[in-house]
Amino acid sequence: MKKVLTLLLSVGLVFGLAACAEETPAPTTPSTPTTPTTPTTPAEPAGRTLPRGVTIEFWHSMSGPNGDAVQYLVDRFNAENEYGITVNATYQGGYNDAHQKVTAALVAGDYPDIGQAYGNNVVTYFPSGQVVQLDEFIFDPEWGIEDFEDILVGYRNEASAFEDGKYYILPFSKSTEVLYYNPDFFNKEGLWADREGDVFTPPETWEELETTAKAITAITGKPAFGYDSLANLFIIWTQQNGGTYTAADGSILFNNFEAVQAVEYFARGVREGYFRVAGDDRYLSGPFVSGDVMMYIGSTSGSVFNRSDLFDFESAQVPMGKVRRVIQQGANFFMLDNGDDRKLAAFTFINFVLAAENTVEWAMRSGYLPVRASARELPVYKEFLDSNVNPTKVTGASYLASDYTFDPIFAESFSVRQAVEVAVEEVLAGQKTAAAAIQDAYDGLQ
Amino acid sequence: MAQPLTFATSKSNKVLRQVAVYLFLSLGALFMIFPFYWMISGSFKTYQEIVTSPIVWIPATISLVNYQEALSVAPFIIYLQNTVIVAVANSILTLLTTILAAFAFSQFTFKGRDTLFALLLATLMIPSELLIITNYSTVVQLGRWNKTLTETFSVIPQVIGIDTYGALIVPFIASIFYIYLLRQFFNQIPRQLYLAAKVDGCSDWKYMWTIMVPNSINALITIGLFNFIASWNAYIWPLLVTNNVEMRVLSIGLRYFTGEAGSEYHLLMAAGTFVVMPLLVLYLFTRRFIIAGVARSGIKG
Repeated sequence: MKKVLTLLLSVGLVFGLAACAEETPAPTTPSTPTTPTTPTTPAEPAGRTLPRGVTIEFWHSMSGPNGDAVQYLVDRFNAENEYGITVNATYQGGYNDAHQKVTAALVAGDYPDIGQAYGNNVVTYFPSGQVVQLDEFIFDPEWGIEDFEDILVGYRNEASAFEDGKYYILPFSKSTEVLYYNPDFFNKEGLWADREGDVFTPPETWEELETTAKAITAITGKPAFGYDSLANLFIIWTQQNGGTYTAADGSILFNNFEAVQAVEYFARGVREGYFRVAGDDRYLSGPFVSGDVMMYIGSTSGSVFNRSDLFDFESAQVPMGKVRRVIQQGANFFMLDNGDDRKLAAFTFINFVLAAENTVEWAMRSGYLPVRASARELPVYKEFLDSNVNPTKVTGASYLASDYTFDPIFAESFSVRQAVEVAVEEVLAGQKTAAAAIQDAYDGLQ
Repeated sequence: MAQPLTFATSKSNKVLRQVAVYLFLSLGALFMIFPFYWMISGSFKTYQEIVTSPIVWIPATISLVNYQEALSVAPFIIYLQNTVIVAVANSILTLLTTILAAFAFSQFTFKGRDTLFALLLATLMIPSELLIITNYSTVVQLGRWNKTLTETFSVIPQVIGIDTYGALIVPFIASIFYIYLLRQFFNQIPRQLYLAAKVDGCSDWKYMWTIMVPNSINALITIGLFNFIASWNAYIWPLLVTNNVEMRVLSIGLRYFTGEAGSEYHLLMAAGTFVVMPLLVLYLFTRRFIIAGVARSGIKG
């Protein structure tokens, strides 16, 4: 009898405690329902005023040179802004760590004014009711963002790609993908010389990429090309060929012929030995630097990992299909509500970072791209691009604003990416046909 | 005639068996040492050497440049100082609560003892991830109260809340697992000793410190060390409760070398070596106790 009582009590305790803890969203699993309730921050009255000396907290995920670049902008803002605002910028680990921390901080009611995150993480903060809807600030005649249309259209679209079409984020650490290649190898082997005389041009279409890769493999006997992110491969290949992926309301739209073609294209290359995946190397920068792989597609923010003792890398636009599409990735600013004064101070800081001369400064000091179209025309940035410090900056600037595509934002958008990645891996492992793998992934997500 | 032959066979058998055992142990040792070799040799390699394949086993030049660079990325000396303070305080306090609780649960008979113990054991089934947010809320709330007190009575220091040692140490100073472990250990000590001590007029307190604790020194050192290592390695909790760089710990420093599209492995290995070295030294000094403790209590890390 005593034992039974003990058992019952302990079971009760476990469930009781578990129930207590479940009221708060678990940090590791974003468990928000498919249709998140968008917060309703009341519209601000016009004619805001900002008292002097407001202090705000900014949590970010930038370390190394990127972290230094953040601190540089923060220090300048703190010294220069006319309202005496002080920004405290703190590094909070990688994006996932910071996401956990913000989740916990929202529950505890002690959260920063500005954070840095991917949109799908921001969506999970909506139920707290503290995410600031930014339209009222962006379009405010006095405090708003000057020449907002100058921010690349892809970034603006992403920033408002929420269910209610309002702005909840603003672009910050933006990167994209480029084709990295080893120019020494091509010069040595005289590859591509037959295409345009002596001018070596990197492959511009997926067919050219395939031909080039085959030619390289014929020489080296090793896979010639790899793609860091299989999900990105799937997303841009599909969209470049007119297919669809997902929509902001969370609907899954990738069960189409173009998606099957995308997977088949890459799987064929892997099967025949001229394409490869990052696999255990995690990123292809390793095999690329050691001269194993001659070309790969990866993030511009990874260019720092491509420094080799053997050669200086070059970069080019990713190959294009029927439609020009390249992935736009990287994190954004979001704001949390700590009262009107702090909100306005926080927005003033974001506005400062987004100003043309500062987004350029950010791009020159960090691994990221400027967020404004006009930034590319600024003399200081032109000079920087000409100085050829990092080829990805030039490639990044060469994409048209309309080239950019992004994952529509909803709470599960990351799970969709993972499902797609698994589907591609299953095909590469020869477990399923492309059509079957895509259908299974699609069915699994429904 | 047959006798010496058998003798010889059994002797060579014995040698053979010894060789096999040593071979097996050597393989095991190599297997265990490999990660350390990889980390330490990696800390001397260039970025090119560490990412290249086929694997470069021995760096071309031995220089401390990676250490210089890695340790300049974050204030590692402050981190080291904080980590030592937190790990030492944590281990001492954990040992204290563990000894007291284990003693009570093993030596005293009181109403509801077994039920209470079963309840405590049941909490082991709750994954720590589930508790991290509630713990965080608690610390923030306590911090607010503490702040109000500090503002009212200036003699009261801020001991708990975000960016305090209290937040880093206090939530982990009681471990049900260690209490359970030590209770088992205490239970093995003959009850007669306790009764005899009682007859001699020894108090419970004195009995605990003069008989129980010295007899369990191996187990206690093992518990202390495991706790120390866990505290040393903790990452997500220290990250949650600190914003100020001055209050952060070594494990957070290691995160600086990994970006969103790759890692500076050569620097990471240098920083990793720096972080692990104190633990290795500590282990070398306490090895004897750990082996004895593990052998007797059957715990392993």
